Amino acid sequence: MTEAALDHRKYLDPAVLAKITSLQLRARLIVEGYFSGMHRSPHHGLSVEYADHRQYSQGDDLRHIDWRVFARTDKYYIKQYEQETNLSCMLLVDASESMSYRSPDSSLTKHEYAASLAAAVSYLALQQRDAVGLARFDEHLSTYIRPSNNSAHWRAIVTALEEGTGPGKTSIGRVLDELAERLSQRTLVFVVSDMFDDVGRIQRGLRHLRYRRHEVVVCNLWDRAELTFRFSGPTMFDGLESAGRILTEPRSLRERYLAEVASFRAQLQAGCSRLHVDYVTFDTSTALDVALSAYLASRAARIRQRSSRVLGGG
Amino acid sequence: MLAQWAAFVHPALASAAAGLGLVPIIIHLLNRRRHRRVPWAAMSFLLAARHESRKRLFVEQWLLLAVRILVIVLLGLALARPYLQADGLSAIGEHRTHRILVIDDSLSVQAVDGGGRSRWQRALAAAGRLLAAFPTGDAVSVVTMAAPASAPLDHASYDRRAARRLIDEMSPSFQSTDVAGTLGHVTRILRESQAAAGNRAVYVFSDLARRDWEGGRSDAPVALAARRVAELAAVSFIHVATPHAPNASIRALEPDSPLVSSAMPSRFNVTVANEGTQVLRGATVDVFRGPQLMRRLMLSAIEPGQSETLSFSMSFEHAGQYQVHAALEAGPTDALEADNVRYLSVEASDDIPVLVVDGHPGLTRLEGAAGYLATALAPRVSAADPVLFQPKTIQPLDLDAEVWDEFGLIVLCNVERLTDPQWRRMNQYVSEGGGLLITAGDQVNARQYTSAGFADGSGPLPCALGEIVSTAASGVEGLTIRLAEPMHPMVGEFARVPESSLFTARVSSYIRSTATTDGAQTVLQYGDGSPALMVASHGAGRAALLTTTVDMQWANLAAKMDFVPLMLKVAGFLTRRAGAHRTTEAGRPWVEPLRLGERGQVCEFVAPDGSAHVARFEAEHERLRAVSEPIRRIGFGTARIGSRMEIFACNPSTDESDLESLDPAELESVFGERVGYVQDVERVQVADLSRRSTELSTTLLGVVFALMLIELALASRRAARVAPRGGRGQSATA
Repeated sequence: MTEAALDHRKYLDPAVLAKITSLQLRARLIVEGYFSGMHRSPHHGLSVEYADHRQYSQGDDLRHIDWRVFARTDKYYIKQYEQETNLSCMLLVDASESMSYRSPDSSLTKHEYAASLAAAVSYLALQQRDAVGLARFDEHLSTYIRPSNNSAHWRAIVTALEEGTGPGKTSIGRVLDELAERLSQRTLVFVVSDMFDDVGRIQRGLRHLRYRRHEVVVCNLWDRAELTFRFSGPTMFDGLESAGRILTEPRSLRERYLAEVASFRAQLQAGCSRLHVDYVTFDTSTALDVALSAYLASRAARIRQRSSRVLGGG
Repeated sequence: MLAQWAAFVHPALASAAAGLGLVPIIIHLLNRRRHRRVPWAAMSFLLAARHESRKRLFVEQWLLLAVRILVIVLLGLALARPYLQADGLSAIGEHRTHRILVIDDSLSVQAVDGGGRSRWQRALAAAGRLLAAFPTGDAVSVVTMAAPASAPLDHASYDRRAARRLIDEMSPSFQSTDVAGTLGHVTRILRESQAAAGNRAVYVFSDLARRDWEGGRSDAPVALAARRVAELAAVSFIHVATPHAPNASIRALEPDSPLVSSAMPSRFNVTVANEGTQVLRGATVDVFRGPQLMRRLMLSAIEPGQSETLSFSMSFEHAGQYQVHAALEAGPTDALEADNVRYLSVEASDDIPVLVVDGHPGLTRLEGAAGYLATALAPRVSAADPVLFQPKTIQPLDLDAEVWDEFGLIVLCNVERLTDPQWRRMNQYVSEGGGLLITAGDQVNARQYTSAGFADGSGPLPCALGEIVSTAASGVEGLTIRLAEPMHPMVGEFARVPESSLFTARVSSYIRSTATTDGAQTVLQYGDGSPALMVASHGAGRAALLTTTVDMQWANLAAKMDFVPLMLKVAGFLTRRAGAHRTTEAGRPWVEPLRLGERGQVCEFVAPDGSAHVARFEAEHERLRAVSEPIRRIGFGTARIGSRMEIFACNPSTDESDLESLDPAELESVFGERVGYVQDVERVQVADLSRRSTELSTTLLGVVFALMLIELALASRRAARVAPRGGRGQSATA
């Protein structure tokens, strides 16, 4: 990693990002950081969805020749990607009250983290001429911006993301159903939320999307305190989203609480896995570019494996 | 219910412990109030966690809280020294405890040796405090120790107020302590008690005078009675005295001679004893006749345990009864003032008629058998000289013609014999208070004297008469006379004068005495040990026998200088109506013998405290006596029988002047087992006294220790559960 890259990375720390009030600048910093970490990645941006192989014909870009296939078959094959099929991406961002939580040790609320993530992804997509849309929700869809690949579209998305959270409750299952009805073409849907809803309802919503052949990535956001629950002494927990309040000695509940969280995550992950939905956990105290590149790298690896299986079988 | 079988040595601490039990609850509530508030998004997981842990947390939290409360409360209770009462364990249920309060109201408890408070006040205060502390429903009885011991509440009474009232109305007496009677009452009450064997307790509030408990000897009769009580109940003592209180007292006030004459000054003796442990200095004795101060006597220093007798003379202008009393002023260190006074009823007489029967009269007065004796009884130089006795000498044949009751004393000098009727008359005369002196001689028919006069001990003679013993046959010059042991008070004066001519007299013959009556005492004896002078009481009178002659026939005693005082002493002792018997002691009845012709009369007594009552009559040796109720106050009282009025004096018990107390070890020796004992009466508690009480402090402390271990285990378990574990709860980043 170059010195310049290191200097750049220091702005990607959530504590630093939090001081950057402009979401646009924040998103660009994240994307720049992402690219500086990628170096010369063989994959081109977000829309790296593998679609098919075809025989090389004159005029094709030599960079897209699949040399592995050539080595096995002694023929030139060109990789064909969804990018070339005008990928549509929809960012579904949770704006319920629970997303406003920020523990004292965290720099960003979950919603601020989610907005930064969504802005970065949309910026990345638009850079690749992919169409990007945005939907914000709590109990219902509150904001809906249709996907578009117009570069000026990003400003509208960022402006929408800069809106804060409302008092509404998280109701992902219903919102996913609504979204599935609204999306007309096959879309890559990013669900950015703390997912504080019933797992069964969430799975039903995801199933609906998958039924409509949309690809779904669940970005499950957690504050560090929600994952560790390191409270002590008599504490009154005021539930957001009108969830009531509990006065308790948290140390006595910690073990059980963590078990509940682990169980929820395991169920959610298992449900996603069954539906071929990517499930990614984000800790709001973790640098966004690191989390983003880790996810994209794993996604690319999965695509390569799928491609190899197809060619090997062919 | 709990209070019936358990109590606390420090009840205030127990109350405080109950209050301290609230501390963990208060801390718990305060902690809940002092919580912090945080907003929380992942509420569903917290709610689910709480729901899942609710039961466990509830049990755990409240168990921990309960253990902490118990630790504090039980620790406080342990410090309050709880105990099961003597009867506690078996008293659970419907059983009640029968508690007997034994209160010493004898003279010695009037002593002030406890910081300005008398023993009596301390005993009453302690009794009242204990009475109030007894659990409701327990039965109470009350026994008092002053002689004669009584049981004013002799049954198991549940009326606590009545018992309290009874105690409050009590006052200390001037009587001695009747330990045997007290133990008898207690034993009877315990045997009649319905309470179970373990539910009986006896509390004795006393100064535990050593003398009353027979020195604490385990083989004394009171020890046997005490052990019977200890077998029946738990016995506790509340010692209301300091071990060695200083005390001085007047032990005696008496005339030097039993006869007090109006014709001449009479000598009196007053004895002051120092019962303390320091030398008594500067004490004085004031002597009063009636209200008039007659003498102020200065005492020299009296060593501890010693006494001093002072003599003084007092005149009485005419015959009659006089009230004499002496009062001791011994200074501020004298703990007991009640024994600093002594009363004496004195009956001064004109010369007392004495009937002298001369069995061998001579030509001149001194030649007769009774000549020397008659002279000795009325030793006057001139006819105007006052004499104490007025002897009238007659011959035996004239005896029946005399009115015997007019004489205070009848003397038979070498009289051969009395007829049977005369012996019967003599028997009655002596029984009714008359005096009889018989002197021996060659005329005396010993056999007849023995059969009719001694009559196997039922007659007035103190002994049976045997043969005549002569020293001439054995070649002995003559037998000397000496004082017999134990010494009779009649001849005490001679003991102080070894050079007395009494001891230089020689006796050549005497009549041997054989069997004696019960209570007969040898006053003088010869050098060979045979009795010379014997006395015995017979009914209300006294009789004496001199086994040699009072002329010069068998002995030269009559020619000795001290023959006169000896005869005066003997006559004074024997003469009817000697004044000494007109004094009694507090707690005893006054007994007035009835004279002839008084049978059927009403006898009314007026006690020194002014209370009056009619006497009861009882017979002794066929002679009626009027007996009063026990006299409880000291001073002068009167007995009125018809037109006759007698004054009697009632004095404090001399036994009570010795204030030395038993120590606890001696007390246990008496009772043969451990008894409850408390000396700090100001803080007396039921727990301090109960021999069978069970202190629970140690048990409670053990429980507290166990609870603390449980608390530690619970808290550790809880801490282990809430402590963070490696790998858990960390952020799961994709």
